[in-house]
Amino acid sequence: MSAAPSQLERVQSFLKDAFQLPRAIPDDPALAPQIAEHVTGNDRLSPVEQADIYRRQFFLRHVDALIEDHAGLVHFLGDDGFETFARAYLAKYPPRTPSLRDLGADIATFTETYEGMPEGLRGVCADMARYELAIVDLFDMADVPPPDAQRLAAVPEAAWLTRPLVLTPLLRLFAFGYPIPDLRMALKTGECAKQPPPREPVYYGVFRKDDMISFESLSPEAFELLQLLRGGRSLAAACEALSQSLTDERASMVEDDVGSWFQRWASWGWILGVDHPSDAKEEQ
Amino acid sequence: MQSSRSPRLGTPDLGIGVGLRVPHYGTVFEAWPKMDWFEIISENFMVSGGLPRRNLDRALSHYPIVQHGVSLSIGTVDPLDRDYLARLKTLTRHTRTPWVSDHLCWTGAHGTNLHDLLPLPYTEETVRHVAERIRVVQDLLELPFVIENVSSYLTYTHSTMTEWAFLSAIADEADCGILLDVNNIYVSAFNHGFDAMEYVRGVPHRRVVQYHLAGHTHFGKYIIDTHSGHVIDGVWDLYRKACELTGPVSTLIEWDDDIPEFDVLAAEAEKARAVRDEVVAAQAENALKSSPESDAAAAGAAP
Repeated sequence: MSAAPSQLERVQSFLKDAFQLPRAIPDDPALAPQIAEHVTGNDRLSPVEQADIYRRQFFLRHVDALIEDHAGLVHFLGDDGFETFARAYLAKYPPRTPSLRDLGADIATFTETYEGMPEGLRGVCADMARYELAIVDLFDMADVPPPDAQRLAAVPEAAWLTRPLVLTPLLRLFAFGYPIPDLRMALKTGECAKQPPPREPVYYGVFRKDDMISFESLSPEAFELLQLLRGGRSLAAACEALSQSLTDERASMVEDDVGSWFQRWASWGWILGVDHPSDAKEEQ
Repeated sequence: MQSSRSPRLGTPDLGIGVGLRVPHYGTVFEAWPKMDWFEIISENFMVSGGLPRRNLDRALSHYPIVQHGVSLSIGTVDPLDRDYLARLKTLTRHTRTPWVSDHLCWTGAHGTNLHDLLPLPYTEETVRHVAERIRVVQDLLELPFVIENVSSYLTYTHSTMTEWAFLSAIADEADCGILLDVNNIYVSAFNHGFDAMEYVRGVPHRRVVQYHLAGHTHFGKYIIDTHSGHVIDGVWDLYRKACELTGPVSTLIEWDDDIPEFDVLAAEAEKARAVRDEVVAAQAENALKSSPESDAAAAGAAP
C-alpha cells in the first residue's frame, strides 16, 4: 500500500494529541494558532471551540466506559474521585485497541501507583480492579465444551490421582485482602459500606458457567491446592506438596475434606478431566 | 460484487430494521417481534464466546443480521489492522451479513484509539488514501463494503471540496457502496452551514445500499449526533427526498441513548416504512401515468 499522505499525517498527529488534553483547549491561548492552522471554525464556534467538542467527547466516552465496568471502584472512590482517577488513568494508559472492552486492561496496575488514591483505599481498590477485570475477561472468553461423560468414565480411577488434572480456563483463583466479590454483590442492594472492612486474607474461585459469572469462597488450603493443580500437578502430588506446608492437624483435615472439595469443584465445572487420559489408560 | 451500475450495487433491499441493543434482548428473544432485519455493531460480537455470541445466535435464528462497524478507522494514517480485519471476517462468515459497513473517518493514529468517528480533510490525497484502503478491505472480506458519512463538529482549513463530493469520489474510486446517514447530513449541514438537500442530491444514488435515521441533540450553537430521541421532521423530509432519488433501500433506525421500550423503536421503524411506501406508491403512479398505455388511454378519452 502507498505511504500515508503527509498532510493527513500532520493533521492526525496533531489532533490526536489535542483531543486527549486534560484541560479545555480554549483555556490554552498558545494552542489557538496551531488549531487554527488545521480547523476553520465558523460564525458560531471558533476553531478551538470546534476542536474542544471532540476533546470533551473523548473523556465522556472513556470515563463512561470505565464506570460501566468498574462499579466497585466507583463505589469506593466516589463519583468525582473516580472521574479524576479515570482521567489520570487515560493519560497514563491511552486507549490502544479497537474495542472499549480492553480499555481497563491496565487499571489494576494503575491502582497500585495512582498518586491521588485516598488513604486506606489502595488495597481494596487494587483487589476490586483485579476482580472487575476478571469479570470483563470471563464474560466473553471462548466457550469450553462440557466434559465428555463417556470419555471421563473411561478414565481409570487411579489416573484421577496420578495424572495432572485439567481445570477449566473459565476459572480464576484469587487471594484478596478483602471479601471483594461479596462487597461487589452488596453494591447491588445498596448494602456496601463506603469504607472497606479490616484487611484479612480471603480466597475465591471466580468462574463462568452457563454464561453466568459466579464466585465461591475457598479455604486457604483449597485455594493452595487449586493453585498447585493449575500448575500441572496431579491430585496426589498436589496434596503431598500442600501437606508439607501444614501442621499435622490441618493436613489431616485436608485429607478428610479433599474428596468433597473435588466433588464440588467438578459440579461447578472447574474440572474438565485428566491430562492425556489415553496415556493414563496405557499406563494401566 | 455486482456491477456498480446495478441499484444498491446488487445488494438486497431488506426493508426496515432497527439496531439490536441489550435493553431490548428480553422483548426480542421472548416475543420475537416482527422486524425485517437487525443491525449489529460488529465490535460487540468480535469476541470468542459467552453470552454475546449466544445472543447473536438467537437473533440469527429469526432475523437477517447486517454488520455495522465503528472501529475500522479507514481514514487513519496507521496501517490497516489485519488482526481486526481477520476477526471481522470470521464474524461475517458466521452472520452471513450481505454487506459490511463502517464510517468514513479516522478513529485514532500512531497506535492510540480515540474511539470517535473523526472527520477527514476533504482533499484529493485523502480520497486516494481512503479508496485504496477500501479496495484492500473489500478484497479481504470478500463482501461489499459500504461507507457511511459521519456527523462532524469541525471542518479543515485545507479541504478542497464539499463533503458529498468527497464521499462520492471515494465511493466511485473504491467501487464501494454508501450508507447514507440522513441524520448525519442534517447535523453536519447545521454545524457547517451547507444545504442538506444539495448533499442528498449530490451523491451517486445507485451506490446507496443502506440508510440510517436517528435522533440528535441540539445544543444551540451546534448539534451532536447522540442517537437519542425521535427522528425529527427535517430528517424525515430529507429521507423522503433521498428515497425518491434512490428507490427503496434498506433503512435502519438507530437509537442508542435514552433507549426507549422496543415498541417505541418499532413504531419509529414503521414511520420510516410509511415514508418509503408513500414514495414508492407515488413513483408507481407517476410511471403509470407516463406509460404508453396510459397515454393511449388518455388519447382515446379525448374528445
